[in-house]
Amino acid sequence: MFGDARNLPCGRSWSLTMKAVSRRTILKGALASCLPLSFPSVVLSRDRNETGARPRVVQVQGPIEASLHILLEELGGVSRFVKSGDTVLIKPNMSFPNPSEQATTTDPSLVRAMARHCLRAGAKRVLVADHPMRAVKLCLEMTGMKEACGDLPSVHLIGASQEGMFHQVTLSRTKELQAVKVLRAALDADVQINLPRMKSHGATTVSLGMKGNMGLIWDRAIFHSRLDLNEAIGDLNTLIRADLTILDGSRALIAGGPLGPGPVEELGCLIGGADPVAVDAFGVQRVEWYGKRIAPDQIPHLVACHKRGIGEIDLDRVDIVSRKAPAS
Amino acid sequence: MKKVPSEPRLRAGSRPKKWVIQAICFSVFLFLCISMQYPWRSWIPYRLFLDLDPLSSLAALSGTRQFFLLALLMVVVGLVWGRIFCAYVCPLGFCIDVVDHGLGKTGRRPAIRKRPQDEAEEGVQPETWPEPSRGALASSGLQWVLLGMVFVGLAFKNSLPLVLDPIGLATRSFAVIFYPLGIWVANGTIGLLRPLAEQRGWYGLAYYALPQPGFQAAIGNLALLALVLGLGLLTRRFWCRSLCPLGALLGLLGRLAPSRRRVTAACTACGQCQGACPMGAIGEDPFRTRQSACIQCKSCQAVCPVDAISFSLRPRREARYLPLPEGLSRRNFFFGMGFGSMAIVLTRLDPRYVKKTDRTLRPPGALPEEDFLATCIRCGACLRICVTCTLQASGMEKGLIRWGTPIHNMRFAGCEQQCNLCGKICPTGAIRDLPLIERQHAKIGTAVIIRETCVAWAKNRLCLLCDEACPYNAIVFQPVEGYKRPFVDESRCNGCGMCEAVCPVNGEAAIVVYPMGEIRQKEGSYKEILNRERIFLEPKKDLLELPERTDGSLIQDEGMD
Repeated sequence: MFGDARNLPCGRSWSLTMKAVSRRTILKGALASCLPLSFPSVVLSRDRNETGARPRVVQVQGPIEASLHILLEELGGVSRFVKSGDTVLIKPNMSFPNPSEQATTTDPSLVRAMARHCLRAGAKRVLVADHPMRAVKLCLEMTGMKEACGDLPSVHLIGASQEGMFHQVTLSRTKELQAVKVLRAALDADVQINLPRMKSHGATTVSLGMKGNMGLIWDRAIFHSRLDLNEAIGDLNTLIRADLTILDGSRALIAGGPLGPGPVEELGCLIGGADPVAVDAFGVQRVEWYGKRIAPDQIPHLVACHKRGIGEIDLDRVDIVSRKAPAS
Repeated sequence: MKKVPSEPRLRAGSRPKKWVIQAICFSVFLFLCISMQYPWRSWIPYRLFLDLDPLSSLAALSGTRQFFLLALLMVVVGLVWGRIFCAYVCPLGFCIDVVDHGLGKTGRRPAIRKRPQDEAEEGVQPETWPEPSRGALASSGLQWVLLGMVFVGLAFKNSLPLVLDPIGLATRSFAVIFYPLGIWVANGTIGLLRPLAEQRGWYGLAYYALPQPGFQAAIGNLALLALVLGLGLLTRRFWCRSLCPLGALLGLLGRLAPSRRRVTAACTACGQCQGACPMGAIGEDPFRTRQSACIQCKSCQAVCPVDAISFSLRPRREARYLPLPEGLSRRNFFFGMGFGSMAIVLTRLDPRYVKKTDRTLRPPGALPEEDFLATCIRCGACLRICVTCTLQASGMEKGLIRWGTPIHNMRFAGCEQQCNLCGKICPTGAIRDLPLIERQHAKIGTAVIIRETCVAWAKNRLCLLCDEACPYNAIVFQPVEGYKRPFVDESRCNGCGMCEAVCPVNGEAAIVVYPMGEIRQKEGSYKEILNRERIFLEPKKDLLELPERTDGSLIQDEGMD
């Protein structure tokens, strides 16, 4: 399944971390003790709070900070996800040196607001991490992330650029993706919060939470050249599963993605939930992509994720809550 | 017997030591070189040393940058103090001094033949002296030939001889040799500390890494630098005294300089100053100085046991006929110039230059090739500041005439859309200083898809990395035979090469930037030209045809086997 104890992402003793039930603990426990191989890897990363219940997706219309506040409240408060002393990984999209107006990267004010919520909930540290496609320095600066997160205490902005920052993880239950190098900070975090920008994508039609997780791995080229892209995204998401996904729909790049330039639609909403597939599915049908209405099951990588039991793609089986945040 | 009045002067011990000033100047040089990186800080005088160089300013005359104040200052300093720059400021000179010191080449004291006392009067010595044997090559006068070649080259629109300009050489050496090595060491150290940093929760350190540059011409430059420094094995400051074209120019300017070495009659002709002079500027006759070689370092003054040597600002007593620069006969000069000029013309007759047989991609804003080769002093500042390291120093592969000039290696990295630093840093304006919007319209070339190797075309894979990377949305996917296949929209392609860099095909990319359609102009707006040619870099309606829904199955999957 996950190989053996040598796969541990860092030198920390895994046995000491077993007291707190966290994703990291579970992952490490699995890595270290070689649990029965029949145990599907998906179960390891299942949402610890929502098994059995209908997943809930919250959509809030309004200014970013206020919307985020309401969204988190609707989902049961940030403390449902972030416990005191946790290391939180926030994964925004900061892959390109474009300002938020172009809707190719996550709005920095959303990242900042989320980081502050985490800190207030008692997070020990917040890692804001992505593996940018372009020059890291430019990306951090021109997306506005550096300015937005630079002054927050215990918040580390990580633009990964070196292979040594990633750790090889072996997947044995998967068909397409056998091994992948994952950002060590992602393996190390207790909680993972995904903050993708809603945007179109030439290969996968949309790039939301599921596709966004490709920002946490090292070698992305083989997804396109050697592997079946959609199936590989499904496999990747069995390994990396966000505890909370919030789509930045303040603006959406509805065509010409992922890098643009393309038409930007001012949606002015945030879409969030604990079930990453349900959130993506709602995001897909929220706007017209490339001038067309698209159903979630027309997006192959979402179907692939659903088939692997990562989350619900059928919106009829999802509780959808729509709220409006007062304009400040 | 003329009596030279002894005048008040600083003792060797009371003035700041030469090497202290050198080290300070070198530190400033290093600081400027290291800080040549994104983001651009307007308060840092990045080009200080390059702007000081009159030779690079000469090349800049055919460029677009017109700032010659510092170069004029250097000329004035040269007219008054001769080659004082070489002793105290020149970064290459400092390196040479350090290496010479390491080679044990300091303070050699050759046996000096004592001269009869009656010849010790100033002004009665013969014009030439027998040269010490070790200095035969050193005093061959090559520097005058090299300086001449710089002028001939500039006249023929070829700045190739400026690869030997010491400031450019030092900047380029730092950019392509020492900075990449330094980053390699720094990143390696951080990598070793990473497990510890993660354990301690020092995430700032654990995920800190500097972008690693690397240059294909690094070894060539290393060899050149090793040669320049290794010549110190023959004689101290061999490069400075017999090759450096900038030194030759300053020496030429300083031939009438009022600041010069003066020797009083107290001199006992002990020969210590001759041994101490790093430039071999004091010949057999200790009273005479070769002004064009003297760098006014005052080493001679410091060692003189009888305090007979002084440096002072005083006009020359007697107006005299100026002979040719020392160490060079007229015949040798013209002989050298003949071969040098032939070489300069031959580099321009190279088929690779005449017919552009190579895929030579120049940075956005580069002048038209002919002007570019006349203007680019190959200092490597653009290579140093390039955020993606797509800019590489050309080796011999594009022809000798292009040696050291910046070319794109798009396979290694693309040219960043949001960066215009190469034009900002260029000391001569060979790359124009363009605002970002103009840079984005300065077309470098056009990408071409090689369908035989493209995995989307040849293997029907859902590979859209080029599209994902393209900042101009110039890659368009259209269904062909039921598969999504990439096309390049030439009217949108900037030629930035991001596609070529990310193409997953092993080896040569399946999408390659050619210089076709490049826009190179000395003045005027690139944006206007593109608009005139109906080339648009604004958002447009996407051409992607999405498959109709067929009961949950996915058309995109149909093509996959």
